[in-house]
Amino acid sequence: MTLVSTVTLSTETFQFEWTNIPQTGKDLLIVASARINTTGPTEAEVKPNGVQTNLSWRGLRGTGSAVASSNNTNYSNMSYAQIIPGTEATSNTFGNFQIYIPNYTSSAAKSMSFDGVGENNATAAQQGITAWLWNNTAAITSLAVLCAAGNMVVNSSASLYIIS
Amino acid sequence: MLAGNEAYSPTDFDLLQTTLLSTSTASVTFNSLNSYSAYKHLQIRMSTRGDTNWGGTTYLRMNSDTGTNYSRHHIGGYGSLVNGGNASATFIALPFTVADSAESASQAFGASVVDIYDFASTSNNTTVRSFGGTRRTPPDSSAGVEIRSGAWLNTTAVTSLTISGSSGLFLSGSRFSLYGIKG
Repeated sequence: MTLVSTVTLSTETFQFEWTNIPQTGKDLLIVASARINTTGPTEAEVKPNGVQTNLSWRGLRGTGSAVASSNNTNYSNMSYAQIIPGTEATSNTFGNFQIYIPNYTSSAAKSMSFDGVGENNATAAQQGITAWLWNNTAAITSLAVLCAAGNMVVNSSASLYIIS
Repeated sequence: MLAGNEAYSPTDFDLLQTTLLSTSTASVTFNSLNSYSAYKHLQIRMSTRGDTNWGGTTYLRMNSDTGTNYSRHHIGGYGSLVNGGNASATFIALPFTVADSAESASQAFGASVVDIYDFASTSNNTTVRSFGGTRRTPPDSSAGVEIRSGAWLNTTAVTSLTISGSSGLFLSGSRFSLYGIKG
């Protein structure tokens, strides 16, 4: 597993982005820690090659008191679990998640897996796993991970790794 | 490169410490984590079985803090039952450890992966994500598969991690491996 680069936010923004991803690996792994600057929690999204079309998902989440499953083709809530806490959550508390993308250079559709957790010293905090499909045969050469609401705060970070 | 030697390919995911129990033990601690400044995140991979006095809950604590300074949540599947839960607590709960009992398959161990991000941060509380589970024969409500989250509500850098049970001992053969992830 080889680190490509880490993005650590020094100003608030809505995404982590990597361009010119080396095409030398088999799989990609993103490891991220994030919190938003508005009332949350909110979901994580992915944008491969600069587009958010042909994305679909099926997910499982817990809210701290209940469990639910759903599926959709709407990219704006594709992590399903709202694992990025906001101003409603305990101060200085971040969610963490990872995204695994096997065969990112292949000419087949791209299946991805997501798992993540938020935290909050209260009843409500979410955890979840989600299966994603990007029904596109292009190799992934750029990738962005976004928050579905607000901006991510300073010290939010994400690292991209190649697995050979 | 010398002839006959394979090229060295460095990784950014490295084994830092492993504890393999040769006797039953109440707790395992990874110390001196401040020496791992080359790493941004930590991961524990553990294979555990408790003795007949096992209390059912596996604890994770940071820096020996036993105060009510943690929060935790989970989602779990237990055969025919799913549920979620939460608590403010004196520990972060990890997924199941197999308890040594008539219902447990002989030599079966629970398996868990525990991610601890930004462990050296002095501005963020420490959030932990874990995934794991166990199987019994037959399945019961104290076995299953879980995703757990937890936070240590303290912005101090994590310098030690202690894993224990609510009661009982980890049996010989239980293994705890700590990995560093560069970032």
